[in-house]
Amino acid sequence: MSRLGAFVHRLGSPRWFFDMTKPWLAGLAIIGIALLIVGTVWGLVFAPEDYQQGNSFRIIYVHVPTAHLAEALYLAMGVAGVVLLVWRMKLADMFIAVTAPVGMAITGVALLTGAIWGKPTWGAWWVWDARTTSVLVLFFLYLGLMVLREAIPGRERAGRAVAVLAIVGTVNVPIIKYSVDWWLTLHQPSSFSLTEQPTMPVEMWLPLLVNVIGFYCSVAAVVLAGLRNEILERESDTVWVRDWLQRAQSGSGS
Amino acid sequence: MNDFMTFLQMGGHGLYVWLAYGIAWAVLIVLATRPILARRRFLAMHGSCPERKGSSE
Amino acid sequence: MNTRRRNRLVAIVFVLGGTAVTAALVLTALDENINLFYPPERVVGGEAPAGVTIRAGGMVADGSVEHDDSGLGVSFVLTDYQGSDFVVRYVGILPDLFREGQGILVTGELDDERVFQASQVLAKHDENYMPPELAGIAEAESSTPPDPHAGAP
Repeated sequence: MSRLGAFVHRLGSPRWFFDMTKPWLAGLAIIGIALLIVGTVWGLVFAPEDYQQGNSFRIIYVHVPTAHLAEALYLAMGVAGVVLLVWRMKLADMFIAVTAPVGMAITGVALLTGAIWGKPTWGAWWVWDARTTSVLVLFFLYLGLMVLREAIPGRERAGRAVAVLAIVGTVNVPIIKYSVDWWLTLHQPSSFSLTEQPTMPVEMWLPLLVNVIGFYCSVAAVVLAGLRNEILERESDTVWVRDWLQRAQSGSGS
Repeated sequence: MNDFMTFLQMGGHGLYVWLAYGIAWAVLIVLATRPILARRRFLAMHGSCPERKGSSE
Repeated sequence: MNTRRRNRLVAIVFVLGGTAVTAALVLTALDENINLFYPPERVVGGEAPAGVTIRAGGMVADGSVEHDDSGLGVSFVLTDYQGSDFVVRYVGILPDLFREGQGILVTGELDDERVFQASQVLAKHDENYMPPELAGIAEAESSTPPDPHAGAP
């Protein structure tokens, strides 16, 4: 087996992943919460208002990070779907199972904060343009992944069917991203991108960057914590989990 | 105190701004709480009787 | 990578590619319907149907906003700054962001004189955000009089 093969094989071992990621969890959570607090206070109090929108502009600091994350989480599930179908890695299936509800919640926040922002700026809570509609489709894709898993008997078969939907659904992500360029929409073009010049001055853009990283780290911590629980649940009959349980009982007493 | 009221009102957009931030934070807190509760539940279910099954390894 | 895995990967690539091509074909076929509104060029060019509810959009032409005597009705010109423009009549409350030079979407019907009778007016803002002080400088430089109400709706 090649060096890469060996690494992939080890990464696929739930036990190895569980042991390795223990220190990551606290780190991600602490960094994420700290950045979110800084970004939120910065965005609400210190960032200037917009010359046209006034203070409703501040909604950008929760809307843009969640909208970005909603797309990124779906892409990650698509990659996990490929890994599951090609390499039959159980961990990839667990990742999809854990991420789907989180992604749906984040997409829901992006939709709701978008509606709340739309009312004072556009003059309407909701308009069926290409951007809003494609994000709504994303929301239902997440929901579909969860429903499909419940609907199909047998963990392995359900996992593979869900993986196919996760992969096929990634087609929607570039549609969301470019909808504002391809069609006439009410939604404005994107204002946050790592590759392009920001469309706002640094005192508005920096808190946005802080909150984007904060949301990514926090949600990564949530997914990782869920994944570690999922590993314990699915491997609860194995010797290593029972050893771990004994240590957890006698040790910290958590 | 007056400054604080002005801050809360957000130039008339207070309802929108606070609602958006409230929803975002509420969902984040729920998302963060779920794995903590799930872990407790797992420990409560399996912790008390770690040898409840024969070795399956 | 062994043969079985490679075959699975190839299958996935084909399915994903097929889905992408299908989506692209469907979206291309629906292109006109996915556009949320008619730009001024298409309203003037007659492609926008009269007598049915449609959406149209454009920029509010400078100096075109006229309030009628009752104070509620308003008429303005939407333009693309490239020679196409049309008149809109509307009775109701305008959105906070409504001002000259602003992108605006109107829902309503074109009447027999090709005047757009709007039942709803929405503001379309762009992705450029600015603090009020900076905007003041930018507007002063571009020699348009700064709006005293900018940033304080």
